[in-house]
Amino acid sequence: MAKRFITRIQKNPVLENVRIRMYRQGLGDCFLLSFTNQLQKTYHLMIDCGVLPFSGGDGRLQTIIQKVFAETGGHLDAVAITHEHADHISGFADKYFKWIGPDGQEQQPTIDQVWMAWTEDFTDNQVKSIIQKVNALSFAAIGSGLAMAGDERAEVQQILRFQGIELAADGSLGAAGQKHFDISVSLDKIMTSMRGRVKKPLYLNQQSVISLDDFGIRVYCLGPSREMPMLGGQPQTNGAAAAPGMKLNPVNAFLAAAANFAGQNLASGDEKLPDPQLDDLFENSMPFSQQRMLKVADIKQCLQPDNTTIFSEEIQKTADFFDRYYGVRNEDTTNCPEWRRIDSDWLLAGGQMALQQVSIVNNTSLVLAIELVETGKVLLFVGDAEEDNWKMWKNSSADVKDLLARTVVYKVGHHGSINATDPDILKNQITNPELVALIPADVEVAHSKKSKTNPDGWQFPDPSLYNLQATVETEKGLLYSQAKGKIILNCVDDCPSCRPSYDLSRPWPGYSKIVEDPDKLWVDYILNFC
Amino acid sequence: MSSYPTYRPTRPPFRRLRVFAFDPRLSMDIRYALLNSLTLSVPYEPLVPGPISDYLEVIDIDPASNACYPPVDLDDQYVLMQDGLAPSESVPQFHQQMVYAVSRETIENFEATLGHKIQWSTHVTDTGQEQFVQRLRIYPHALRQRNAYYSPTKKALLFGYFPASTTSAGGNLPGGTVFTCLSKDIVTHETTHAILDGLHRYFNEPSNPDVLAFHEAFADIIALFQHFSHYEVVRNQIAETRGDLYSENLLSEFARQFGEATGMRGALRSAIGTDKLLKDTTEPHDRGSILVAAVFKAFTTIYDARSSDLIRLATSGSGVLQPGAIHPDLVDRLAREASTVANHILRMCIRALNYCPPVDISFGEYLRALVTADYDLDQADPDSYRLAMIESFRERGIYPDHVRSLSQESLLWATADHDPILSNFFSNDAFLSAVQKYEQLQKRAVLYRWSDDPLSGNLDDDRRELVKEERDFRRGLEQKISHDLYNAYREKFPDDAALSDYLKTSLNMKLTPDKNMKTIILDRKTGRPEIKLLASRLAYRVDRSGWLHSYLALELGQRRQGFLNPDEQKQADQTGKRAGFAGYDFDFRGGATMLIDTTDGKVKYVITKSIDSDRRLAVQRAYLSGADQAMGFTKIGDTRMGYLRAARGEGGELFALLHSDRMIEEEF
Repeated sequence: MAKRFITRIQKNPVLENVRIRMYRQGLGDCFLLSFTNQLQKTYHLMIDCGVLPFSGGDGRLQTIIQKVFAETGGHLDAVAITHEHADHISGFADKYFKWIGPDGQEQQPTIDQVWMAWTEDFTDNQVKSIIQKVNALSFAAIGSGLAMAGDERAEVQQILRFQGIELAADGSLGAAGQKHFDISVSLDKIMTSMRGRVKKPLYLNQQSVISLDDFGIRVYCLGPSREMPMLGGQPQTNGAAAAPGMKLNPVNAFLAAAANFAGQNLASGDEKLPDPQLDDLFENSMPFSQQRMLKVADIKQCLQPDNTTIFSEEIQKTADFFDRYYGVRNEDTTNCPEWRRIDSDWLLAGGQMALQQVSIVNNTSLVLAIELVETGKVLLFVGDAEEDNWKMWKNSSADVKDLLARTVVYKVGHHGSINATDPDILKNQITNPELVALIPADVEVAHSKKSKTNPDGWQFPDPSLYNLQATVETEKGLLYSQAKGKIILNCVDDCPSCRPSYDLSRPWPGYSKIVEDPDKLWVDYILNFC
Repeated sequence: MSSYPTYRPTRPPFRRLRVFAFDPRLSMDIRYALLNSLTLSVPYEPLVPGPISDYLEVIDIDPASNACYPPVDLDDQYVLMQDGLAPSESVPQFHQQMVYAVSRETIENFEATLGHKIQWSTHVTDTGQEQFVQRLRIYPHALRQRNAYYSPTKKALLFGYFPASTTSAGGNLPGGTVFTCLSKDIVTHETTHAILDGLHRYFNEPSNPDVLAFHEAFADIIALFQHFSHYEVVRNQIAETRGDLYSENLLSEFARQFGEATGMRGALRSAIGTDKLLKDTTEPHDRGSILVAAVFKAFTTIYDARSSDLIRLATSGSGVLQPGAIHPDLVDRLAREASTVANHILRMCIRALNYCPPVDISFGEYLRALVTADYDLDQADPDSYRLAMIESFRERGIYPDHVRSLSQESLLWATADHDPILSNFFSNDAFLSAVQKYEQLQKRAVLYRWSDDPLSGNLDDDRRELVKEERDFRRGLEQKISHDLYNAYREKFPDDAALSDYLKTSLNMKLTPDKNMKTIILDRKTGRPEIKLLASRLAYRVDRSGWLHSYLALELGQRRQGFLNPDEQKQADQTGKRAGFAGYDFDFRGGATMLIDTTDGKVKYVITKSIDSDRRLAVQRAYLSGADQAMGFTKIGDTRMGYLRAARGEGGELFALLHSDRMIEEEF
């Protein structure tokens, strides 16, 4: 079959050029790939469109979306959505993702295809359990975030923001019936809306190949793998749907306690955990039977001077003990100074759960290898796939090693952070001398994310991949050496940290060209085959 | 006047308390159920409900479940009559009893080996005052998490509980609660962290990849070798493995239930489960497991050597055992050998702690400490303990820096002989009588529990008194060192450069300000580099001929401001300030451990970490930079980040991060 294909191409070479437009919207991914064939027909593929909320790029992204539609006439042949994180999809929200045409009228853009990973297909049983897991983790994180204070809370908030979740600023807890957090942009709604823009989205898996013969392109889906342990391991193609209700597992046990502690009803978008279910879970998660446990509230009441309830002598003794050694009644007793107490230590796990949840979602990233059939060159877009995802790449119709060896453009995972590029695979398999790396990491924006816990801001990209400060060639990181310095950043403007955002003196391939928007809204990397 | 004869029983030496020998999971296994109920004999001490004792206070509050559990009274007559409460998962009071008993056993092991009372690390107040902490706090149900840790700031052990995996629970009840406080290994491990922190408070500053790994490994080593102190358990396992302790068995495993409940199958960390070399990994647990594996290998080597004659006897010289069970007499004898060897190794490992540098420990230096401490005990090494230790460290690629060969002689710490000013500095009556006074007090503190004098329910024993005395003693010594020792050197070397050169080969500390290293913290009064006496410990050992030796270990510390950016460091070294804004990134520490023979006051060894070493500074910077430069949120689980935050005064629980495992690889 391959042979037939090649013969046909030789008769009539198809692809004239590929333009990869990396937008400079701030911290996030937004790419427009335009493939033009010899008939001067152009195929527009958009990969992700988002910016991290509150990173100062919102308005900019709106301008960029209009530029996209102006360029494509309000039409996209395909939109690929790698995964459900704000910095990749916030631009797809209905209020932004519309076209103000030349006549000034708002109109809906037309989209032929929406590509998503199989992990977005809610009818899939394995996906159901992934969603349960992710929800439980994020509720647990939210619950603990609410119960925390100060820096710890800020830290959890920073992670939750990738999920588009904002904890309420007032921090007041316990007021009945009042929700203290809100999902400012419901990522869930965005995904639903994008699904609705086509008849049925294409859910890609490791068998999927999309052939665009008119343009000489084949798109292979390399990940995520169904076998990834983080995503539930073995495929669950048959059998009953996951049991309703919430299982008692470490995450849910934590979640129940965190929710109880925060005194909140946890909700995300339209989903809501009903109180009775949470209460049941809390009851079931108790480490001992009822009669072995004394409620802290009872102890406190017992210690009140104006208490009228009669408690047994045993309870009275226990109350005195915890008053004397833990200061259970009064938080600053001399018997238990603040520094020895453990009231909220258990909640620290919430931050780690938030991280795990981010990690799972990153690993649902759709990984695409776009093969330009005539030249054999490959463009690799990995979303935010972390190492677990990388390690299990495959496609039933392709040799992954071969694809990687031919990769000439690599969209760097997760803005260049340490765990989203597998160093072994980068070093030993992505070895093409023509390799160019595109990093959607707005270095200045990242640096500006200074906080008490991150006094120097976020260091994008990770120095082990690309060290912007290093002056010696050999210390500039693995990505730099693999790409021989051919790296393009999407920094907004005159960024002092990375100036220039690409280095023209490097050995760029002869067929390539870099063009910048005069308004600095994007940078184009163009592969020209004419 | 005559009185009726009365009989008053003497105070018992031990209190017998039942615990799980391993963890509750083993009681579900019919082969081990009986074995798993173990009665510990912990040193008798007066208790109040909690239990609260001289060293420990168990406070059983569970904030996540909004509950608290009434404290157990171990002096209740029904409890006393049956060696404590019977092992049970469902009775929180048994949990309290078990954490107390296991923790107390661990403390006893350290005191018996080191010959001095252990103290918890001091609490440092907001104003920088050091406060005595009498009791380590134990919270048996503090976390709803698969984690347990020692909190150096709270001076507390926090134990978690969690529902067992529903898909791969091993021998646990799926969804049933697993308590980390019921794993003897985990309790021992966490207690050891606290003891080590009390001995070496800077061993939790990750100044090189080995430091935290050492904390972890050392805690595992203690937990592992404590398995061998329970004869019945050893006997059972010898019978089961037919004497081959290198094969998979309960003794060489760590926290089996915890491992199974997390779906990781088998034990959490098996001592022999790694063939990795040290250079292959930088992750603290991986590095730690290499150290544990090395020590365990040394143990099996010696055990094999010492039992080969028994095997030959039992096999008419062939050395090949018949299939099936081995003879109970042989089991007995092998078990005795295993216990003896394990006990020696355990003590060797603990004793080496007084021979470590005060800061920035590396595995190679720990090997030198092991060798030197054991050499001091018995120069002959008839059973080749040291040789086996050196050999198995070498096999794992653990090498010390700055030694020319791996022979025992070159691994021994350098003596201070060639610096007569230092080696004779303490040889005077004033010092020796001060030591004597201190020694008296300490002996009284160590031995009080054998006296017949009831403490009348007052738990504040003379450990507090000892601390007060020790503080005065330390203050005097600190003065003496920063003034008299300085003057003694000055007398001979009026020139700064000459003095610095001379010191390099002995004390290796900075005694005079250096205009090229203005980042070294100076003493405000003297204007010279600050010298802090971090610890002084009087330790005893009995040598092979039965002589009692005592020696004083003094740990001196110096400080320097460290910067993550080498250019800023250079600038600050020259000007004393960082450009732009105040502050610095991390403490760079140096210092020296001196071991002084108390019979003549001679300084025997001096083990140093120089404050002006740019090489060490570069190592620490590189190690910490790895965490700091990466994106913040991907690094929350990074202990180095936790340390940097703590260094910036932002709190953070170092060991919480180190111990927590990933929750994601299961539960679907």
